This record gives sequence, C-alpha cells and structure tokens, in this order.
Amino acid sequence: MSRFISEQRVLSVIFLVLTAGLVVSTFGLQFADLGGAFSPMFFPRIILTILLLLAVLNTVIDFTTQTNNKPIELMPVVLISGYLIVYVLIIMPLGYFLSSLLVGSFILLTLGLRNPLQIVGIPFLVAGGLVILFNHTLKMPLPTSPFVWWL
Amino acid sequence: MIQALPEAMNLILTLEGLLVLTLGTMLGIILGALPGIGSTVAVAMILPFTLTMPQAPAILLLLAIYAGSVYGGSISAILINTPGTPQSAATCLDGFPMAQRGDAGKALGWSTIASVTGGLTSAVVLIFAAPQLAALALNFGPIETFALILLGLTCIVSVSEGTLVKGLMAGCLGIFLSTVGGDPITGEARFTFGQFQLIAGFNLLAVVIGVFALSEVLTRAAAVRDQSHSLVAFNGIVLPKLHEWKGRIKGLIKSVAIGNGIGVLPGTGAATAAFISYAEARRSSPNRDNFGKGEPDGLIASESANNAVTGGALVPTMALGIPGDAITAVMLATLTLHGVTPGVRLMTENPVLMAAIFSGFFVINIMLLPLGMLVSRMAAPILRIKEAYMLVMICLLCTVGVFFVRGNPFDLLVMALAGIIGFILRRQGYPMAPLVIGMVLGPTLEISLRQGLIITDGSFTAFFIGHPIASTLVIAALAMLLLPAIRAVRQRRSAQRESH
Amino acid sequence: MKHLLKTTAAALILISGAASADYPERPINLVAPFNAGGGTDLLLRAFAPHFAEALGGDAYVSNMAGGSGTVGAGALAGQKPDGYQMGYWSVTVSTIQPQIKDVPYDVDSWTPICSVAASPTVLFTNASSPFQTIEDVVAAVKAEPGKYIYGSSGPGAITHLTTVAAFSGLGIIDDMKHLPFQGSGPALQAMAAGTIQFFGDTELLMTRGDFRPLMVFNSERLASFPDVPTAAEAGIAAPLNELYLWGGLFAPAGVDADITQTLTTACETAMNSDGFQDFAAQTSTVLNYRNAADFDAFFRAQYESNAALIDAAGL
Repeated sequence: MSRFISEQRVLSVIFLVLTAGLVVSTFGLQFADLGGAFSPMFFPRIILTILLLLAVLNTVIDFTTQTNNKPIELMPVVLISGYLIVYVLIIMPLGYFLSSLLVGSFILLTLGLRNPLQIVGIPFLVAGGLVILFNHTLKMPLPTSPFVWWL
Repeated sequence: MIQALPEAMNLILTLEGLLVLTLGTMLGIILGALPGIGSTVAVAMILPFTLTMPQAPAILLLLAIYAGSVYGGSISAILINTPGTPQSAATCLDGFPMAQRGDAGKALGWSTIASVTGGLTSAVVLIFAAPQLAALALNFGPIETFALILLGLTCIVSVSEGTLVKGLMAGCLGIFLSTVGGDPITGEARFTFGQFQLIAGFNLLAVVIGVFALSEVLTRAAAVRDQSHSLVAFNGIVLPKLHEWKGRIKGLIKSVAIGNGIGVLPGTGAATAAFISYAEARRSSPNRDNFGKGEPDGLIASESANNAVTGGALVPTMALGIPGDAITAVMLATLTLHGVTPGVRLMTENPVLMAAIFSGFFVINIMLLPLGMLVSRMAAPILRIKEAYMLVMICLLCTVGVFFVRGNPFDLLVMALAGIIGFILRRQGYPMAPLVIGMVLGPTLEISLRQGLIITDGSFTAFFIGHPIASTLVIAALAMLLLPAIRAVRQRRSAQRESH
Repeated sequence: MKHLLKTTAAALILISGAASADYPERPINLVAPFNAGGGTDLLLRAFAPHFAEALGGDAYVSNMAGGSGTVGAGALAGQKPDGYQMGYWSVTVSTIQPQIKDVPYDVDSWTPICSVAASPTVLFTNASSPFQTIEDVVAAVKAEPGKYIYGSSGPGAITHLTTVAAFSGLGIIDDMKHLPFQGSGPALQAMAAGTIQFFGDTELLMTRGDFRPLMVFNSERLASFPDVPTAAEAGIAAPLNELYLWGGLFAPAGVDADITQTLTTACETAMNSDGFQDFAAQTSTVLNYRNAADFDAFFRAQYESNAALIDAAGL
C-alpha cells in the first residue's frame, strides 16, 4: 500500500482534479456572450484544456514509474510554512516590526538556535533597521502597529 | 545625436555628474542584490529624491539605479538562488549550481563580464541607432508580437529537459495564473470566485519571490539539521581568464543581439529576453549538455541579454516617447516633471540632454565592473553568517520587497502561498522556471492573440498571410520545439540500445 | 501586558477625541492608487509637501496599485474617517469602476475633500492619416463599415470612454472595432504603426507624438487648438459632449466637518502655492479647485451622468 501511494502520485492526482475543476468552471461562469476572441473565457479555456491533457499524461507517467520519497525534516518545514502564513496575516493589524520580530524569533527557534539573545536580537536588528530606513528615512512606510504611529 | 556628444560630456564629466552616476550605480547594485528587492522597488525608493534634482542628474540617477539593480539581481540569484526579479530567474538555472559546487566567485565573474558587455553594447546601439530601431519596432503589430511570444514560450521546453511534461504543466499553470483578474479586452473579472482582492490578479513579483526565495528557505529548512554553517563559500569575484572564453564568444554576441532586439519591442522586457537567449544558447552552445548543472554559457546567455535590454528598452522610450516597461515609464514621467515633453520630437528638441543620458548610460555600464567587484567583496562577510540568520533575513526582506511592489497586503499572502506550493512542487520535480516564463509571457500572449483575432475578424489563418515576420517567427518556434524532442528521442534510443 | 494594552487603547481614544483641536498631530497618508512614477503618483508627490505645509503637519504618499485603481480605493473605503488617510481618485476610479466592477465601495463611501485637476480629453488620429476633420471620419466609416479601429489603454479607462463618447455620440460606433491595449504606451505605438486609427486622451499625451486632434470634449475650444471643434459643435449631444480626466482628494465617509474644512482650505492653499503652480505648468496639468461641498455635488452628478457612457461602451 505504502509503495502504491507516494507523495508524487498524490500530487499528480491533486493537480489533475484541480485542473479538471477549473476547466468545468470556465463553462459555468456567466459572461456577456460575445463569442470567439471577445469572450473572457476564450483564452483560459485553451490553456486549461492543454493543462488538463498534460495533467492526465503526468498522472499516467507518475503511476507507471516508481520513485521513492525523498527524505525530509518535516517538522521545521510545516512549522515555518505555518509561521509564514501567520506572518503575512498579522503584518497589517500588528505592523511590520512587531510581526517580523515575532515570526523571525520563531523561525530561529525552529531552526535550532537556543541563545535567546540571538533569537530575539537578529530579527530585532533586521526589522528595526528596515523600519528606520523605510518609515523614517525614506518616508515610504511599511505597515505600522496600532499602538504608536512611528513603529 | 553625435554632434551633441561633446557638449553632453561637459554635463556628465562634472563632480556632481560623476558622483550621481557612481553612487546611483552602487546603490542600484546593492538594492538589486538584496533578495526580494527588485528594480521596480529600487526605482520607487529613489524616485522622491529625483523630484528635486535638475533634469540630467535626475534621469541619470534613475538610469544608474535601473542598470545597477538589473545587474545586482544576478548576485543573489547566483549566491543564494533567490532572484529579486523575474529577469534574473534564468540566471539561477546555471549560476546557483556553480555556486553550490564551490565556484561562486567564478560564476559571478562570468555574469559580471556578460552583464557589462550586454550593457555597453546596448549603450552604443542606443547612441547610434535609436531612431532607426524605433522605426523598425513599429513593424511589430499584435500578430508579430503573438508569434514572438510563441517563440519565447518554447524556452519552457529547453529549461525543463528531463521533466518535460512537468515543465510544460508548470508553464501552463503560469499562463493560467496570469489570466486571473480583470479581462484585458472586456474588463470582466475572471476566476476571482467572488474575492475582490483577486480582481487585480496575481502579482508576478509576489509569485516569483514566493516560488524562488521562500521555497528556497523551506528547502533549506527541510534538508539540514545543522544550521550553523555558512551559506556558500564565496570570497569575491573571480574574473574568467582569457583562454576560458574559447568557444563562448559567439554565444555572447548572439545573446547581446537577442537582448537588444527584444528590448526595443514593446510589451516584452528583460525576463523574456533572458529566457529566449538562454533557450537559444541551450540549443546551439557546444557545451549544451552541461546546461542546468552550472555551465558558464547559460550564465553568459541570460546575463548579457537582460542587461542588453536596459539599453534596448530606452529606444522606444526616448525615440517615440513610448515606455517599454514600468521603469522606463517612470523615466518618461520624470522627464515630463522637469518640463521636457517626451515623444517623437524629444531627440531633435533636446539633443544635448539626450546625448547626456545615453552617454551617461555608457558610463554606468563601464562602472558596473569595478563597483560590482566592490559590492561582492562587501557582501562576502555577510554570506559567512549562520544559515539560519540568512533565512530569517530573506523572509523579512522578501516581505518588504513584495509589499512595496504595489502596496497591496494581499500580495503578501500570495507570496507566502506561492512559497509553500512552490516548495511542494519543486520537491516532486516540477521545475519553477517554466512557471515564471508562463506568468511573464501569458498576458502578452493572450492580449496579442485576441487583438489579432479582432483585427482579422476571428480568422486565425489570416495571421500568417501577409505577415512575413510572424510566419518566420512561428517557423523558428516550431524548430525550437522539435529539435530537442528529436534529440531526446535519439538519445533515448541509443541509451536503450546500450542497456539491452 | 493586558494592562498596558488597555492604557494604550485609552490613550488612543483620548487622542482621537481631541483630534479636531490640534489636528494634524501625526503624518497624513495620501494614497496613490497607481504605481510609483505614474502620472497620478507624481502629481500627488508634487502636491504633498505644499499640502503638508498648509496644514502645518507632515504628509507622505503611499502607492497601492492594481485593478485599475480599485485596490487602493477599496482598501481605503471603510477605514477610520479620522482625516489621516486620503486618496487621490480619478474620474474612472471614483465613478466608472464601481459601476462596472464588483468593488467594495460606491458613491456613498467617501467624504470628498477637494478637486485638484480636470483636463478635457481630445479625440485624435495620426498626423499622416487622410482624416482632416471629424466629418471625414464619419463619411469614411459609413462608406466602409467594420474597417476602422479605435484603440484604448484598457476597458473602462478614460481613453476608452473618450472614443466611446465620440463614436457613440456620432452614431457610428457599431460600424467600428475597439482594440484595447495594456496602457497608453502600446496603444500610441500601434497608432503610429497604423494598426489603430483613433485614440482619445488628454492634450498632454497627444502632444507627445505626431497626431492630429479631431475634436475636444470641453465646453469651449482649447486655446492651443483654436481650429479644433468641441464635441457639441461636432453634433454630439449631452451628456456625451464633455469629458474630463478629473481627480481629487477623497477621505473615507464620515469625516468631521471641522477636519473636512481644515483639509479643503489646506488643499486650496497648496494648489495656489508657487511650487505646485510650477509643477502644473510644466506638466500641462489643468488645475481645477472645488471646495468640499462643490466637489461632493460635482462628484455625485458625474457618477450619474457617466452611467450613460458606461452603457454606450457596453461595459
């Protein structure tokens, strides 16, 4: 069983299903029917159909060839991916400096650093430097925090 | 133009003029070399300062930042596989493998010489042939542009050798991503699924920085336990020796020509030129089998072409008043601000200013060599810091870069998701360069195809009747497409014969 | 920490309560809904220092581009109407886009502060073309329906509306083809190459190339082109006979009357400053100041009358 299901095969099936869904969606959407090159769906439909054919071919290839899963340190990848999502979501409400400090520290922690001075210091210096440069020297502000306008 | 050169030199060869050129080029290289910060953001950062400067220095400063950042982008592309702009994406393909194998200094040496050659030649072309080239560019209507883009798309095949189907899929995905948002003909929203944010579409830079820089961060986090070693062995630029150029000069000349030619055409740009030139080199270079594994020819092809575009793009800008890309548009606006009307009469009405701009551009490209070596030497100690620090810095800088591209927080989310999805796809052997090619060429491909169909009243066959340029380009595209396929089949046959 | 947050929040409320007395006390953000270096951006950057000086505070320009300006406007709509955030919207961002796209703002989302610029648009053709007057164009189009093409910088842009107003007003739009480009640059190049025959934009853009004006969408003839008829003279009926690329400052709906008054006065002072007048002269920007009340009325009237244009354009 585990030999049959590999990361690559799962991915090719997901790719195939998503593409098929998109192709179907080009027929369901409501647009002014002007026909031919005037239709907004004219071009995407061509591209998606090609993509669908390729995805079918790709699935066939992936299921007929055997590849082994590459080794991976799963934990740091999942954690850092999560941090990145959280990061871009809190930048606007918390401001660039605070969110960078927070996320930068967590990334360093996850990458195995243990010295608290380094964990907090590096993001502090980098983010702080960028805020001073952009917000206060160049006057092209990065998102600021809700607490004070200058950070 | 040539008569005005001596007077123009008086404008440039002053203390102020040289200072602007030196500092501007240096700053451009540094900004371009920062991962995530590309030419667009670099120019936006400097723009407010130019508003209070006199005419010539203002334009020269913008030009210096532009040319410097295009070159600087190759530094981070080679050393840490994180291009700040799409135009350096092709540089990663051979530059990073070279750096990994310990030849980072050499890789930068090749790219520096190629960049300088590309830039200088384009400056000469600009000075002597701008009006003629601009007139030539007018022969490119929608149908010719469509054919050219088709030719450009064939590089997807050459950059995905070995994983052809997955490469083509990534390319199509890129084109599809570029169609999300407002329809270029009718203005209706496509594939937005009710999300207002998607009306503006996926930003190219957000996706490029995601799939290259952030996915590189994840790849490194996934690969190594020990994050305390430094990123890459690098001690400064090592210039290639004369004998190493043997057999590479022809490729260099060809790439420079491609860069200049494509730069002149509207709606294409540096990334297109870099990829087309890379694909052509991969087809014709005597060292083509090493491509993708750290072959200097690949570096030469992409770097000389993308720097040659900087001059080429100025041709329609200065000769016709028609900007070739976002950055030349900024330059035109700056000219307007200083009371100069850009347009067809620009060169005849302001010969001295134009000569100063063009010769300043020449000087900038000469200075790329020493300043590039200086900046790389400065960057060397930074690269020796712990890999973990570098990864955090990349994340923080990419956010800044993407935020300033158009100030849209939604682009940040796109960047993060592109990074994660890019990581998953890369891991399973889907190459990311085709995705970028697709996203770069997709919009022009679509609008030129549909414009052409509107002009010909929906007849696709009419594209090739009475359009000799378009027909030639399509034949070239077919040749590019079929040659590697034939070569691959032949190789597989001989390989099978050996294994049996 | 929680305590600290509460104190900060309380302090913030106090500050905003006292706002109108010592407003402004922190930098004011002026949003340009297009990329740095574009026409809107440069106008705003030239305006900002004079505006800041008139207010006795600080002001900076930030860019938020995408979706023909709707991303910037959409982000500002619904923000706190504290007078620290404003945007410079053009006629298309404020009156056209919300009527053709599903955007999170409409006519009631704003407190108009002041209008700054208003340039009439011009319909023009290539200088080497056989059309000397607009009558030549009408005759030629009627003789060969479907042959002639007009360009635009994109669907719903002012360039599109100009050509639509012209050819719809003349009753020949169904005999012509529309070819949108991505920006005015490629369109003007196509015009020089002969791919398209007609284009409409402001006078400034037209003077860049070898083009011949055919009519102006102004209430009277332009001083620079005394021989070119107005659209009304060419037989185009209201509301299609006048079309201006105007723009002004908008704040989110619900700004205090005191603050609006402060801002609109500062806007007038800034517009009359020597520095901004020089900028306008150098870039051929036609300045047109309206105070908050007048601008509000003008904006709402435009919102209504542009519906006719949108209808004619088939958007």
